[in-house]
Amino acid sequence: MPLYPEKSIKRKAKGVAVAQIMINQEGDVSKVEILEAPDSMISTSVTEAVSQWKFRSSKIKDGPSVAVKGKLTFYFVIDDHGEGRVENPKQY
Amino acid sequence: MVLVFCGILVKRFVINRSNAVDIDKFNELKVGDSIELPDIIWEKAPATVVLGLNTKCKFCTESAPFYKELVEKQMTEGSFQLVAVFPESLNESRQYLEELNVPVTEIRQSSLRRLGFKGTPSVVVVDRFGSVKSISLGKLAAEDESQMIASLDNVTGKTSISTNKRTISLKEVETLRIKNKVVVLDIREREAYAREHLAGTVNIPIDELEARAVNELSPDSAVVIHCNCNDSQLKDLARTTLRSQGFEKLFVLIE
Repeated sequence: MPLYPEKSIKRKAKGVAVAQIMINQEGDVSKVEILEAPDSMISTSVTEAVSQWKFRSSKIKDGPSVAVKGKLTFYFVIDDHGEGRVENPKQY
Repeated sequence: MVLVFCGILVKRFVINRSNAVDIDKFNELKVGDSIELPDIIWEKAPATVVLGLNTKCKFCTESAPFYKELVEKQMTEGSFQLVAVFPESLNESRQYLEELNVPVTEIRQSSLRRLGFKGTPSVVVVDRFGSVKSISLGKLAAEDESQMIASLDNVTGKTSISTNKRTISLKEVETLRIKNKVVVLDIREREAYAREHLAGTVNIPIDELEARAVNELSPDSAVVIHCNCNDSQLKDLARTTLRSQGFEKLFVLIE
């Protein structure tokens, strides 16, 4: 998961971060674009974390692996005690 | 002479045969027509909603949230009967509705073609005399659902209440805001939203709605879907997504 930069917590920068990623045939993240983030430090943190992620390669049925594009959402939350944490979206 | 005789034979046994098939020819059901369904007594309620469905029909499955709303409306108001008609067996049809979580209790098996249904899904409103008052075919857009509900309410003699409305004007949004929690949700991409948007709106692009809605919108709020466009499919997709996540007070802004 991305780290919550201390400076962002101090600045009370919180909210949603959305990254658009491209995953190549091998399942590596080949491109990250931050579409939305509470501040630039959080953008950097998300980019650094997500770039290291490894995905199972996507295949067309009975065919070769393909590159895929998708979006990832993270919530940067600061609790009542001023502690920051990063959450995945809750599933409905 | 032989040719003439053959011609007569062909006319008698081939052409006349096809005429015999015509007795079963498709008579499309129209507003004002009478409709008959086994064991359904129209007089039992001011109105009956007949759902013409097929277990293999994609749009029937996609319309399930609306049918679920109809069931809820029926249970709350009790002013109409709700019948689902399938060409498949009763067991198969019941199982299909159970899987969709649409608890219709009155299920009938019938050829939809024989009833005059042009396709599936069909929603037909019938009055207490068995006369068809409205027919809606296919997966309905928000406006069409509104119209269908209005037609039903008209037959049952009930005036539409706000929760049955599917579309809402900006002026009505302001009125609604006075008493209720209202979120106007803009489902366009960020770039379009950044260029211009209505004041006080929330932007969640349509492809992010499934992941973000439940995290960022309160289910107690009325959600007004808006895209500054005439793309009813896009608005319907947003509505279906939100409804599947438990949002009930949903409206589409009249652009």
